[in-house]
Amino acid sequence: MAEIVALLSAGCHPETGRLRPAAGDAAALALGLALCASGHRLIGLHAGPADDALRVYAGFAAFDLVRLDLPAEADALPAILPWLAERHPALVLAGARAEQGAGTGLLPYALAQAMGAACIPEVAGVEELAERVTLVQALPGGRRRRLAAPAPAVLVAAARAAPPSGWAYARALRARTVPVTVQEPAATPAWRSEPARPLARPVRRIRGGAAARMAAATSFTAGKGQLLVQPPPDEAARVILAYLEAEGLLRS
Amino acid sequence: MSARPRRDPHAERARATRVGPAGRARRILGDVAPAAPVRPRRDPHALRTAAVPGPAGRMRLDPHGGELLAHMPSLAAPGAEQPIVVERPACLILAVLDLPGGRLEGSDLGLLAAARDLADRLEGAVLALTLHGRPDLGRLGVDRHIALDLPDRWDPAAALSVLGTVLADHAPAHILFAETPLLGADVARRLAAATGLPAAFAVHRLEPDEIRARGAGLDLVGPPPPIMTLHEVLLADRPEPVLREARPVAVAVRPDAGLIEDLGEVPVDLTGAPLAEADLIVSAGDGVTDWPAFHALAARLNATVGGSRQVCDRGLLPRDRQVGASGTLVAPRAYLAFGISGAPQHLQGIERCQRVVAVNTDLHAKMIERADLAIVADAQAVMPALQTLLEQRRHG
Repeated sequence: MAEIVALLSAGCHPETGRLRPAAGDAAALALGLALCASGHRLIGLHAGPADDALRVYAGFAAFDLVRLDLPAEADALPAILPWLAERHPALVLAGARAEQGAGTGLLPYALAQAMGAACIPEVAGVEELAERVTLVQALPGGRRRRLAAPAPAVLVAAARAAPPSGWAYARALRARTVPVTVQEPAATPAWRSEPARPLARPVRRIRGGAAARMAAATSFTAGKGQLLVQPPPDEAARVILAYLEAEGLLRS
Repeated sequence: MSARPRRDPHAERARATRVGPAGRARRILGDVAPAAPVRPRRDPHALRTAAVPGPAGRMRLDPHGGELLAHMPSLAAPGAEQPIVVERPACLILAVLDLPGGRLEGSDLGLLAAARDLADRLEGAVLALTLHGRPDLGRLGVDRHIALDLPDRWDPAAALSVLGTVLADHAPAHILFAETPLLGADVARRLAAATGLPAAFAVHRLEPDEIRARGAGLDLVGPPPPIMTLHEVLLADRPEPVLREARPVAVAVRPDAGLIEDLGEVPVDLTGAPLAEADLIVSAGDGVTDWPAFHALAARLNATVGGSRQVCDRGLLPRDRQVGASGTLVAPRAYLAFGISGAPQHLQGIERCQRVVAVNTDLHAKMIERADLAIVADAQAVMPALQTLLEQRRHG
């Protein structure tokens, strides 16, 4: 049976700032645990300084935990790559983005590029894992699409996917991790980081001076559409259908 | 009797009154006849009556006798508007449009507006790349346009190989994407991983010398990197509708096959999907009494079911189906409202809908006013007619 690695990062509660399983990584772990139930071996991999960040994930189920000993702000990719090259996992599962630090969501893509594997985002479920992996991808609007890719592949769990059910504190406490010492990569501080402040509401900028702003503020935009008063039901239906078709919303 | 002759003031006044140069009666005091006026009298109202509409649509006064207006190109020849041509741009800003389903969406327009803004500040030109179609981008602030007709399916490898060719041919200074899942956000990360170029994701402030990108609880601040994806706060803007060249640029590219194989869409029942992420919603209000027809129509369209507060209060739909201020704020591409009059709280909930179709018996309902396609009719008649038409369309 194949080996699956789930990349687990230190989560951070957005309100309290306390340590928790990161939402995206928990969704990725749910994918891994579903495969675990069909006989595959799951390893949770974390690159960071403390065991606590990894132990919160162990509360969901019992599986192997490996921690690469790295400082908190170091880039995880140079440490993860040699470890993965040694293990040759059939699948690498990751969350969409980290809850601490830059949170760019670039790591799975960079990992797939370095491994020469396919990277598939928004994965809602894995159906089959052998020479090829067959999976279901979540599309906007609740739709789903089936994809296939050769193993090994890097899968990014869908942002709205659910975490595994059932978390037990005792199981999290009992968990034992395997620490692995790795060579510390050189730091590359390219960006200055500042605390995030709430963003302004998205607004459309009005160009063309005061007159254009006045016109935009005072003009009445409603009622621009088409109006049919007491049409025969057939005609009303035809108009609605033509409208939906022009918008490309008819799916059948 | 006195020797002093009597004066006749009326006769004196009549003698002294002449017709002046402007045609009005002028009285000359004293014996001196006035010289011809040095300066003609100015009519203060003439300027205003001679005003003509300017290029922005406002009335423009011209105190220089037509001299000023002659220099306004749009007034000189109203029929022939010349596009703005940027011949030698300082740099190129590549905007990679999503075009989901071959259509220009709001995020594409916002991306073009941001690219135009950046190009203007850097004295550069906007190069737009559309992979799945050839929309007309002449009035969307585009100087050069690369249009390809790749098959309309999710194929990140093809997009990546096209981008590689465009980067090699044109060497754009910045490549902009919209932060849209599976589209711009995905391709941008693939490009950053493949080329190793510096990248910033979810940029919410874009200046030529400094950008701010949203990280996890922090902002990353620095100079603009080559690859950027734009946060939705920057995508609400729209480009100025000025005619630009949008010169077609050819690219010779043979997209290579990727590792990922698309096995087609999985049929999913969307009638009970979460309202917040639905892209087609059929919603019922108090005007709906034929509930079997309503649910049959929703199932036939495979649209997500929603309802007003009234129907949820009466238990006709579950509470999680409620649309409005106290329910879910929805943002579908189309919202079909049957028998909803449009309470302010409901209209608040559908503020971000792209298209609204309303069927209601009341011509003066707020919903009819809000709708892009408004039909004043009974929902009970229209719903079965729509169902019949959909069945016909399916079978024949």
